[in-house]
Amino acid sequence: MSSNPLVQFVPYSSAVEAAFWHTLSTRKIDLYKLDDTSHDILGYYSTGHTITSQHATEANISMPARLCLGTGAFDDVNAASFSRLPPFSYPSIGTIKNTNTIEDFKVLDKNALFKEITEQIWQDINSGKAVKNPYLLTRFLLITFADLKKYKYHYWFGFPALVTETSWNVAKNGEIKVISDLWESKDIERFRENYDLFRQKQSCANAGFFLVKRSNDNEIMIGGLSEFDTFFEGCDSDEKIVGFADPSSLPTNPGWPLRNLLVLLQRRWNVYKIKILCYREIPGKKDISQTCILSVEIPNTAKISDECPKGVGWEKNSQGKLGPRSADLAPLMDPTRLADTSVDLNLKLMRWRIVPNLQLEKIRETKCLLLGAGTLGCYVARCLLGWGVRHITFVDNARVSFSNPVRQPLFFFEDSLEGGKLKAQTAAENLKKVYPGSITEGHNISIPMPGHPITSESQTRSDVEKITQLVDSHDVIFLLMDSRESRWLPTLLGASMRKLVINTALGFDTYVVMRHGVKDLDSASKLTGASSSKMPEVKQLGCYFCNDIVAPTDSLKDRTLDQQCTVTRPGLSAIASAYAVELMVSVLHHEKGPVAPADTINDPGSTDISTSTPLGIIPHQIRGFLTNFNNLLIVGQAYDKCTACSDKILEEYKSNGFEFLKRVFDSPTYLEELTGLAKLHQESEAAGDFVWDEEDNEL
Amino acid sequence: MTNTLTQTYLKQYPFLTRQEFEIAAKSFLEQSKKSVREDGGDLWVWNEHEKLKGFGYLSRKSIIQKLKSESLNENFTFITTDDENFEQVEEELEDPSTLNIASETTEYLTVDYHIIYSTSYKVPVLYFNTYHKDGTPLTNDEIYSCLIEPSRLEDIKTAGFHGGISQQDHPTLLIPFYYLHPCETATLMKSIVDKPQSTILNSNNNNLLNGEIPIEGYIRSWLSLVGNVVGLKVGIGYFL
Repeated sequence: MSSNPLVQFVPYSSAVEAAFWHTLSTRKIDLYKLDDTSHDILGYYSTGHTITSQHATEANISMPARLCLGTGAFDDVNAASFSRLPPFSYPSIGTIKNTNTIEDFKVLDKNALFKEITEQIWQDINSGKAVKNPYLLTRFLLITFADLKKYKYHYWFGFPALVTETSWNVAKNGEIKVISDLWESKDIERFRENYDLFRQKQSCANAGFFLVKRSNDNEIMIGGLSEFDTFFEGCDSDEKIVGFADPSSLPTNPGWPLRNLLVLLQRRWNVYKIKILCYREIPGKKDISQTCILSVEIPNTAKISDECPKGVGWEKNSQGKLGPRSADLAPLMDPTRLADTSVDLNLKLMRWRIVPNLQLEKIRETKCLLLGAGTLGCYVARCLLGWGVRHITFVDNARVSFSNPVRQPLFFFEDSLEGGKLKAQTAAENLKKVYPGSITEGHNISIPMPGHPITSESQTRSDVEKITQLVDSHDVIFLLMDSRESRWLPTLLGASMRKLVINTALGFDTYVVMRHGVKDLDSASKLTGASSSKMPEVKQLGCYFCNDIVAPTDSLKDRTLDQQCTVTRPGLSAIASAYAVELMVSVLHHEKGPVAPADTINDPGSTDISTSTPLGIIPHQIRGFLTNFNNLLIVGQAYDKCTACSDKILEEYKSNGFEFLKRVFDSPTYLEELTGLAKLHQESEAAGDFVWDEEDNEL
Repeated sequence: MTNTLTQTYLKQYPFLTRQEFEIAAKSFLEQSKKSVREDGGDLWVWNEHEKLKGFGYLSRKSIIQKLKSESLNENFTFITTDDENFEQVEEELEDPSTLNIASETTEYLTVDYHIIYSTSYKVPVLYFNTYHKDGTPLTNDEIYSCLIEPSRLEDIKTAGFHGGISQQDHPTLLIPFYYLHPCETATLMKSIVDKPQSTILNSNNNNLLNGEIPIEGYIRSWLSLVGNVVGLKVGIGYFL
């Protein structure tokens, strides 16, 4: 007999529904609080089977022997809660021990808890409770620690199986076989029908363990475990069949519940050899063809002492080792993560439905520096969030004033109290309230300006350093300040580091939104200007200062208050900011990025629908006029005497650095001398007879 | 034939009222029970709203095989992890009667499917959530790579009649669920019915002539078109 192989049982594989973790969390918070005593929980299992893949290309798969915990796991254990279990499943009662801290979880005397459950099963076998209610044979243990802040759940299942001194073997000629190899199909069908009736009578609770025999008139009969003594009266030992709902789906091995059932049979009725029916059905399909039958035996000398046997059955983790698992439910329960998912999905819809080539990942990774956290800065930031941009940095040196919140959508009345909070930092804080996933910070820095002489050299030096470092660490620089000359330094830095610079400026009812040109280093390509054949060739697109023939100087001096504050129609800023962001997004979609040539007019009547980006054309400058509600697209060429982006200036900055900047801040006319603008002035004055208009004079 | 005896037509095909939805849903439930042999359809359940009458929905749970996708990128990580550095439990000797199963051989997913009425669109909406075996949900990317059949991926992305996948709170359970956006459902349901030029325009009973689908067949027809995108099949048994 010893040559016969051991019966090897398929252990359970735990399956926990998200709803269970939800319920555990709420109960911990509202009900248990700091009480960490054990509680009963209700699990369930179904019979094992293979499932047909829903995808035609894949083969059928065997399901693991799952012990599941679902929504109703914390309901009181009674007939009503049993009836709420999913159809075709069998109850299993567990004990949950949820610790208060991770440390408690670690040092918990796990063996003692496991032993408690093992002893309970043993007692139920001896007292006969398990005969009346055989589902008690499947008791299990669950130890958990719920990290409610991180929505992370540490857990470990134990499924105690009693281990007797002698192990069960497969009986001679009793190898496991599918039912159709042993039974005629009409018998299988009769069995299925009778078992269904039996199950209905037992209302599932105790249908997981049962007796099967053939009556004298060859009918297949089913009985409850408690009928053992009478049911098999007159049967040959070969005709006695004990069945159980088998969670295993392997054609070669029975599942875990059989272990404690065999101990029960041996202990109570001195069974040493028995035929076992492993009931396996495909739920709802009335298909039990995967049911198996085997015979098992144990030497009849084997004794079970009165001592509780030891138990085995801790679940292994996904590495196949004995240890706890953890489940991260943050994507489902952490509001921040949910916001991430939803924003992401929303944008993806746009890509899938409208613009298949939309580069959402590129937009998302783009780091944006917003110089100015006023009306423009706030609107630009909100609009960037809409596109899924995460990295948004604000620079401003002002405080929130009482007039700000109504026009600047990242500030609230409270922010303007007690002298007002710092705008840059407050904008960043509030942006995080809009979208916690944003990576944002505010810097309180004054941007040094030409014609605004330095008062503290060390301060100016550190401001310049900070701004230089910020421009360097971002991809797109938005110029959103309220004065012209404060744009000079970032324009220079942007040109020098070849960044995409988007500039927005407002009049009362006019605005300009433009991108600064970046020189194409690819000398082979001279075609960097306007792509329209109607336009003269443009070598490099201009910057904000390219059309000036004077250097920027203190525009705030000698002005009345209403001139110093930007007085604009309130809707203008939202319009211009939106254009600025959309311009950035379009440029990001061009293969040349900031170097991309300017498109001018896209004739709506034109049949030519090809545009330079999937989103359409990319202009150089958008000039808007609210009086007529229209826009003009304008292309401006880079000016070789430009005070901000010309080669002369960039070279001077490269070789003299801060010393150069310092001279400019002290005396803006230095820029005119350097670029040759001063000479130009002299020449034109000598020529005499025309007047320079100080207004912008575009192409 | 369930639909020969009691055929009711919608007042405003392809739109349903909430009452019509409930009738449609319960007819679907009947069909699913009858199709048991074919599809295991018995697993659909009608759930009443805890407080509001007439706000119920259909649900079922499915276990499906996890698709192995080559397109799965590297930054894809399994959420299911083990706890490191925990003292292990002593299980003295390896128990010879325990079958040693190669760990985590079978990859399967649990999907909760819910069919819920949309007040705004006046059509049924298919909600779903997909979980790993420990209850952790699939990420957006995992849903596309593990749940949606590759041949359907383009379809869902260009959002033909499936309308694309979005996420929002389940109207009754108030937990986040994915759903197939219903914006194209009415168009879809309209497009599948024959539209012969009806001459009896003012007749009250021209629905049949228009080939409209009766209430009783609405959900199975709709679900058979949209469900298989997310692994939910409506077998022939529902139509017998």
